[in-house]
Amino acid sequence: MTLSPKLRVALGWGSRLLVAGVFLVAAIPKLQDPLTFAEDIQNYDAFPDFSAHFLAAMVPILELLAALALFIPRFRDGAVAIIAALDFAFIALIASVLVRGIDIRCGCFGGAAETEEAISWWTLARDVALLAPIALCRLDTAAPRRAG
Amino acid sequence: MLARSTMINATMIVAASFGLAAARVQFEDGLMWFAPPVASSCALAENNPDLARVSARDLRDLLDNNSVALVDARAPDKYDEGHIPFAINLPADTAAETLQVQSLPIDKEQLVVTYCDGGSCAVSEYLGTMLRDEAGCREVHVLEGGFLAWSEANFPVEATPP
Repeated sequence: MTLSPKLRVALGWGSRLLVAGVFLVAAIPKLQDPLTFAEDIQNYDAFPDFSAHFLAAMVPILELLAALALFIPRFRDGAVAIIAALDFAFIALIASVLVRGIDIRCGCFGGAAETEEAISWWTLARDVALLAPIALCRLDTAAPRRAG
Repeated sequence: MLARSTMINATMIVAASFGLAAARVQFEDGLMWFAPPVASSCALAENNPDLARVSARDLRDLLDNNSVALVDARAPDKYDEGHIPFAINLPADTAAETLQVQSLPIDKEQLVVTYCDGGSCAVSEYLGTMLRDEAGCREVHVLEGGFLAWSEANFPVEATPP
């Protein structure tokens, strides 16, 4: 199916705004309270304990920079690659928690314990669904190949 | 396959994030290159998984009957944000030092219940084991599901006034 150029541009912008919004909303509370996020990371029991503070410092900065870079044409494709990799990592982590039957809060959007959701299949579905707009973020830069 | 320019740009973003994160860890109070972990103390608890569990509903009944001493094992900032009413805060990672310099403000003959963030968090088990074996508390239980289970059951939560 071939999309009209205007639709491609609109889908691209809409997807970038949505994905950037989600990642900015996720990054800011974690930037404000890295120690709580570090505890969330440790609760996943998926990384070496010593790495929790550095990951808690790095992940929200990476989310923030990648979200902002979506709007800089030169860096857009790189940002999409990073955001896709982060989302796949989150999906794998959440799936592992569900498989292991651990009852922990997500930590996806930082914040206090009572305001954050516990991990559920809904959390996993949300991250899987986010892959669609992530894939569309490149739309107005990646022109379709012409036949012949 | 990713284009070469995409990989270069992605690497630049990751490198910038790494640098900013390194600066933050270096200069911000509380953050450390090698985190001391809560979970390291959990290993102790995993070797002593013999503390009984109490559900959030049963704990509420015990609190209603005023027949339990409740100990919050989380960090002080989390306790201040919201905790179970009547709980005292004894952060697990500094509990050993705290108990050396001050006595426990609870009745050791009473049932003691410890809790932390969530069900998999073994911090409350660690603290409970310490309270029983080192502080002399007669009977110690752990809140099943931790603070998460309590707040998800819509039981009352109170915050420390600023």
